[in-house]
Amino acid sequence: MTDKKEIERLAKQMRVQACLDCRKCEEVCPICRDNSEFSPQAFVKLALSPQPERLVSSGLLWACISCGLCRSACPDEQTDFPEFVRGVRETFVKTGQEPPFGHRGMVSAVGRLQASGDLSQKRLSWLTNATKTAESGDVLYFVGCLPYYDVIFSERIKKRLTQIALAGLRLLNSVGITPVVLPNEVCCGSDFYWMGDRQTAQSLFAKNAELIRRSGAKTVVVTCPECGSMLRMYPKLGYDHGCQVHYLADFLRKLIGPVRLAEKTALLSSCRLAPLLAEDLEGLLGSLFKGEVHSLADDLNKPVCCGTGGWLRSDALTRAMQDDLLVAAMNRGYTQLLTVCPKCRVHLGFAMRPEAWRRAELNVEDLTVFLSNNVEKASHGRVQA
Amino acid sequence: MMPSDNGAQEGLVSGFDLILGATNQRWSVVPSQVAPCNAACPAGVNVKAYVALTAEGKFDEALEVVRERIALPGVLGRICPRPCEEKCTRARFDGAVAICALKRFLADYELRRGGRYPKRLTPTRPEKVAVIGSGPCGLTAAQDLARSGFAVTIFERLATPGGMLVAAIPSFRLPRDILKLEIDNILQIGIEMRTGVSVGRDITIDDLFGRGWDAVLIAAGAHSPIGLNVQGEQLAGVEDALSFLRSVNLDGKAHGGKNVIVIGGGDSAIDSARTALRLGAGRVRIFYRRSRQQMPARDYEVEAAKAEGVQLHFLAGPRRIVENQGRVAGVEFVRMRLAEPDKSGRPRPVPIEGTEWVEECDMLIAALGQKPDLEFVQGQEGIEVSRWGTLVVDPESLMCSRPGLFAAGDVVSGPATAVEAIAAGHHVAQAIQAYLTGRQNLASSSCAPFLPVPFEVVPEPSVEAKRVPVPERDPEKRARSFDEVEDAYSASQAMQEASRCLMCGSCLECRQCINLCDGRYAVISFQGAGLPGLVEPGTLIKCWRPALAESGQKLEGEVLLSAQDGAKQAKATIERITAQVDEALCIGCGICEESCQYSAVKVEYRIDASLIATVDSGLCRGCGACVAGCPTGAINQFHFSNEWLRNALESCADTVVLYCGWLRAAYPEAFEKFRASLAKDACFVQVPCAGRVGASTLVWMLARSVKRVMIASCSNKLCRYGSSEALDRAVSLVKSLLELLGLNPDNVSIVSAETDFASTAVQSGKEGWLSR
Repeated sequence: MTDKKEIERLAKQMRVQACLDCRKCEEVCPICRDNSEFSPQAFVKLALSPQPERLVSSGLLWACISCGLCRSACPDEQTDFPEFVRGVRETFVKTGQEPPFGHRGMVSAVGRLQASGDLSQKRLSWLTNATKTAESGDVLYFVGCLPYYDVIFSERIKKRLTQIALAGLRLLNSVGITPVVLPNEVCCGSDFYWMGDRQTAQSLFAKNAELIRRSGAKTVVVTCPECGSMLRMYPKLGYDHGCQVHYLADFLRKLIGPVRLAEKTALLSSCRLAPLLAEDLEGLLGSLFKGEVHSLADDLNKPVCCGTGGWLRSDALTRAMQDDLLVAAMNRGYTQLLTVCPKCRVHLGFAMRPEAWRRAELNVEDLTVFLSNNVEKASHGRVQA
Repeated sequence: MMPSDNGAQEGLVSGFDLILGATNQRWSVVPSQVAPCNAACPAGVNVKAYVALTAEGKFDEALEVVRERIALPGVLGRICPRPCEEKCTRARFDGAVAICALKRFLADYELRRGGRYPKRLTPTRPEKVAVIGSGPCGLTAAQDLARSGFAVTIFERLATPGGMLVAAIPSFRLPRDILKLEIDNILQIGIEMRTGVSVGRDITIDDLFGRGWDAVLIAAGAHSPIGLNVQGEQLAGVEDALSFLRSVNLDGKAHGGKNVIVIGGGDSAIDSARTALRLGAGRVRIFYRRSRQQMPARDYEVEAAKAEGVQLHFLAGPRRIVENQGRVAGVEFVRMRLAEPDKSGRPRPVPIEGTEWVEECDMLIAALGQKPDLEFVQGQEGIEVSRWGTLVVDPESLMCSRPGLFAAGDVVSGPATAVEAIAAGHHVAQAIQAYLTGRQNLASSSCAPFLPVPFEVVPEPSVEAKRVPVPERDPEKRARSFDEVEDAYSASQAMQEASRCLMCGSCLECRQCINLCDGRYAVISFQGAGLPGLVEPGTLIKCWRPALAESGQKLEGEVLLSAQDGAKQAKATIERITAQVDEALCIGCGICEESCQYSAVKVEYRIDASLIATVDSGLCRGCGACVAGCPTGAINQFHFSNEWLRNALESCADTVVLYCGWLRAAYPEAFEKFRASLAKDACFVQVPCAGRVGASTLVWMLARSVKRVMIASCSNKLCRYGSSEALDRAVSLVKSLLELLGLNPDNVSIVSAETDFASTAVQSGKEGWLSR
C-alpha cells in the first residue's frame, strides 16, 4: 500500500501545496514541453488524490528528471518540487516498484553491484605515469563513474570519457596539487537517490563517506556536477565526509587561465552546476576565458537541461531536447560547445551520432578537457614558474 | 496460459509462458477450416498457401508448396483445367484469382533465375518398381517412390517421355523445352527412363516380374481413339485427333488440310483445330452435336480458338463422309435437338430427320474422345477389363488381381485431366509403398482421422480488383505459329494478382512456421500432412505473415493445437516475431540499424525532422540483435519483450544459461548432456538467438542475485542470424565491466557450439542444420 500519510507529510514539507497556479514552472519544465499530461501541478494533484497509484499507471511517477529548473522558476523560494517527487518515489519503491533507469539499467546495475559487496575495483587503469596522485592529502578528486562509461559507451562514443578525469588531474597537478584518487570509490548515488531507491543510495553514501574521511581530505573536487551536488548533500543525509565540495574548474579559477578562445564557443550549463559554484557561472567563465563564452540559454546563469537528468531517462523526449540544443548552437553559428557535466557530454555526443549530424561542424567538448588542453598550450611557462 | 499436464487448456497459448519448464508432449496444428481452392484441387495442392506466399514475394517457398504435390509445376501452370479457380471465393465477386497463371509464373521465375538442380537420390530400399508409361501419373508415382527410397524404372513406348503431355498437347500451349526440363528434373533424382520400349511387344509384364521388379505400375494412359462410327471413316484425309496431334507433335508433320472440319467438343477438338490452323489451313470449323453450354472444352480454350479464327457450329451430328476419288471431300451432317438428360447428366442429342446437309472439306479430324489401349496387356495374368475398356483395380489397394501389379491414371479412370492423373500418381505411389513395405496404406480411407471443417464464412473483398490479365500474344499473329500463346506474369503482376486472394479460412497451412521455428519454439506437425513432429506445450508458433501482426487480425492466425492422442486441445495464435519500435522511447541513434544483419531496421526522419527507427517486418527475422543493442529499450521483439526476458530471469537461480533455440534443436543430445553437467537448479532460458542477449540484460542479471551467466550460442560460422558477433561484443563489454568492478570476468561466458557441441553434432549428422 502506498504510504499516503508520508506523501501528505512530504507535500507539507516541500510546500508543494503553496502553489499560486502561476505556471511559471511549466514554462521552464523540459518534460512539460513534450508531455502534455505532466506538470508539477498534475503530479502533486495525483499524488495527493485518493489513488496515488495512478502515478504509476500513468507513468507520471518517473517522468520528472529532477533537473530543478522548476525550483529556479517558482516564485515561492521554499517550494521544492523535485524533492517532493523524490520523496514520493521513495514511498513507491518501498512498496516494490522498480525505477525504470535509462540505458536499460546499464549504469544503475553497476551502481547496484558497487553497493552490494566489498569490491576491490580496478578502476584506475586510465592513470598515466605523468599524472601524480596520492593516497592521502588535503584535496581529493572524486572521479565518478567515468571509467565505467568508457566501457559502457565504448562502441558509441569515440573519445574516452576518462579523458575528463585525466584532464582534471593534469590541471590539478599543473598548479602543484597532488590529489587523492580513491581506487575503490563507488557511485555517488545520485541516480538512486533521485529515483527513490534510498536503500542502494545509502549504502553507496556510506562507502564513499567512509573512504573520503579516511583519506584525510578537506576538499573534494569533482568534474561532474551531479557527483558534486550529491556529495554536498551527504552530511545533511547523515553521511558526513567532513569536506568542502567544489567543481574542479571553479576550484582552480584563480590558478589557471585565462584561456584565449580561437573558436566561437558556447557553453552548456548543467542542471546541478550552479549551486556548486563559488560565485555565478558568468563570474567563473569571466575568469577562465579571454573572450566571450555564450550560453544557449537566455541567461548564462540559468541552468539548461540536456534531457538526461542523471541516467534517469533516455528516450525520444530527451533526444528532442538534445537535438534542440545542438540545432540552437549551430543556428547561432557556434563551432564549439562546451559541456560541464559528463552526462551532458555523453548524450550530446550520442545525439550527434547519426549520419545527419556527422557532417555538422560543431565540436562538443567537456570544459575540463578543453581547459587542460588549452591552458597547457597557452600558459605552460607561467604554471611552471 | 500454457497447456498443462493436468487438463484441457483454455485461452490462447501466448507463446512465452512455456519456455520455462516445458514438458514434452506431441502436438499438431489442425487448421480449423479448409479453403475451397484447396478442397477443389484433385492433386491436393495447398493452393491458398502458395498464393499467399506469392503475394508476399516468397516465390521459392511458394514453388516448394506446389512441388509437394505437383512435380511438373511449369506444365500444370499452363495446361491445368483449374478446378480451384472455379471454386475460388473471389469468383463470386470480381473474378477468381488466376491461380494457374501464378503457378506458371513461379515455375518460370525459377527457370529464369537458373532453374533447379535436384539432388540425385540413392535407393535406400532393395525393392524395384517398374512404371509403364511416362505421363503425369507415371512420373508422379515414380518420383514419390524414388523419394521413398525405391529404385524406379519407367518404360515408355514412344521415343519421348511425357505421355499425353507430349503426344497430344500442342506446343503453343505447352512449349516442349519446359516439358522436357521438368521431366528431366524428375528423372534427375535417380529414376531410370527407358524410352522406345513397348511393354507387350518388347517385354511382357511377366518378364518384368521375372527380372526382379517387385511391383509394376500400369500408367499407360488412354491413347486409343473412339471412332466416328460412320461410313467413310477409312478414307484418306480422315484422321482421329490423337493420331493427328501425335504426328504433328512428335513426328513434325507439317501439312494438314486447307479446309478442315473437326468433329467433337472437347479439349482435343480445340487443340486439333488450333493446330490445323497453324499448319496453314485457310478454314477450320468445329462441329459439335450438342450446344455451346455442353462443350466439355474449357471456356478460355474455346475463346482463344475463336479469337484465332476457328469457327464453331453446334447441334450438328455427322451422318456420313463424302468421298471424292478415295479422299474425303465433305461431311454430311444432320441437325440435332437436345432431349432429356442422359446418364452423364448432359442433354441427349437427338437427330431431326430430313435436315441433312453437306459441308465441304479436304480434311476431317475426329475428336470424339479416347479410351485406354489395352492390347499390350491382353491375356496377361491378373488383367481384368471393365466394360468401358478400362483396367479394373481394387479400390483400396489399387492393385489388379495379380499381387504387385498396380494400375492408375487414365488407364483406370478413363480419360481425365493431367491434375487428376497426378492425384492418381500420388495415390498409387502410397499404395505401392504400402504393398512393398508391408505397412498400412496411409492413403486408404481407414486411417484418415483428419476431417476438415468445411469452409463456411465467405470473406468479402474490401476493394474491387479485377484479375490481372495474363499477357497473351495477338490472335492474328499467333494463329500461324507454334510459339506459345500465353506469357507469364511478371513478378510484380504475380504479387498483385496473388494479393487478390481473400485467404479464406484460418491457417494457411503454408507450414512456413515449421521452417521459422525449426525446433526453437516448436516442432510443428500438420495433421493430414503426414509430417511427424514434437511441439512443446505452450509453444510459440510463428507465422511469417506480417499482415497478421500489422492489421491486428490476430484471430486469422489462430489455429488449434491438439495433442496427438486427441485428448487435449489448445488454441495458438500464429504470429511472427519481429522487432517493433516504441516511438516514445526511440532516440534514433541508429545502433539498431548497424546491428541488423538483414537491413530490416532503418533510421528515418519523422515529419517533425526528428529521427526514428523503423522496422521492415518483411525483412526482419526476429533474431533480436537490435533489441540487445538498443540503449533505451525502444526496440523490442513482438512476443519476446525485454519485460518477458526480465520476468523470466527474475526468479532465477545462481547459475543462468541463456541458450539459442537453434543450437538446442541442432544438437539435442549434446545439449541435454550439457544441461546434465550443470547444477540441478541452473536456470535455462531459451532466447530466439543468443545475439538477443545484450550487455544490459547480462549486467541486469548480475546486479541481482545471479552469480554466473552462461550463453549457449552457435559460433559465428554457424549462426543462422549472423548476430553472434553482437553477442561477442556484449559479452566482452560485460567482462570489462566485471574486471573494473574487481569481479571475476569468467562469471559471464559463452558456451560455443563448435567447441562444446560440434563433435556430437557431426556424429548425429545434423551439422547442416545450422549452416543453412
